[in-house]
Amino acid sequence: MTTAPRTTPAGVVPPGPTDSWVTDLSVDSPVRQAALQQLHVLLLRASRHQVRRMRHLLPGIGARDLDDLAHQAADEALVAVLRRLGSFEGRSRFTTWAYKFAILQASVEVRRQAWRNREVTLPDTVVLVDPDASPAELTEAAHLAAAVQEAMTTALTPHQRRVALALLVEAVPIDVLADRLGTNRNALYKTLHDARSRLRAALVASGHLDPSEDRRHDRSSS
Amino acid sequence: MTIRTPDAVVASLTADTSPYLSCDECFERVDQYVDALLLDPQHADPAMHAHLRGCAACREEAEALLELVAADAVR
Repeated sequence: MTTAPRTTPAGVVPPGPTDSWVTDLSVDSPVRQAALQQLHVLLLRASRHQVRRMRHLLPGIGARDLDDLAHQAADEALVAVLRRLGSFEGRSRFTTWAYKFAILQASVEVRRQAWRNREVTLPDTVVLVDPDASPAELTEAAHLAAAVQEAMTTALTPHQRRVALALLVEAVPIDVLADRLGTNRNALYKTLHDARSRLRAALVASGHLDPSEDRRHDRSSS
Repeated sequence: MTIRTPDAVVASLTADTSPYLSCDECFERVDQYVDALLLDPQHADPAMHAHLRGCAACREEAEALLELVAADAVR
């Protein structure tokens, strides 16, 4: 290696800002093979971490299959990291940057497996309040729910409504829904964002939402 | 399976997710965001906060990354 050894005796890659991963992983590096092996160790650690976090979504899968899934995610992440290596600008630690690829791959694969045999439904309506309740029986929260239910039909396009309901009521993971609809995560999130904006605008217009709430939100986030 | 109450669904449908950030942009920034948060838990990034509030998948992945990097830091 061109730098001090990065691995501990246990073979775990410790984090650190003083690495030369990009140089070591370049195609003409004399230590590329060793760096690739170390990178794979690091990615496998991240993918196993993520599979552990999400294993409740795969109750019927045994430990060996879960580890196979982690290995597959680490392998795919290695390809992604090498493909994007030139875009690493050192704004974070290399290890943090690399981990995110393995976490993404593992997450997507777990969600895909969890929904492999499940039908994805695209409901067009949602019931948020008891249809038999009289106006006098409705709480403040129920009034808001009724207004949201109404705005879902009047303010949203059918596509926005179905995407919002699939993601937020049916809890279909966004990447699974993207696969089934032949689109991508970005497009679905934009649809959801626009749907929320329209709903909020409709609720402000009907007096169910305080327009200053948006500004309060922005301040609390900053 | 997660059972969502009507109140939770309403909160989720009406969440304020501005300023807008795409999932790809979130992925591009999440490593920097996590490192910054570990240095300063009060680190402010309104667009990241808004996106993570509104996107369950990106939130799960960001939380996982934060947990993993934090665990490295105490090794």
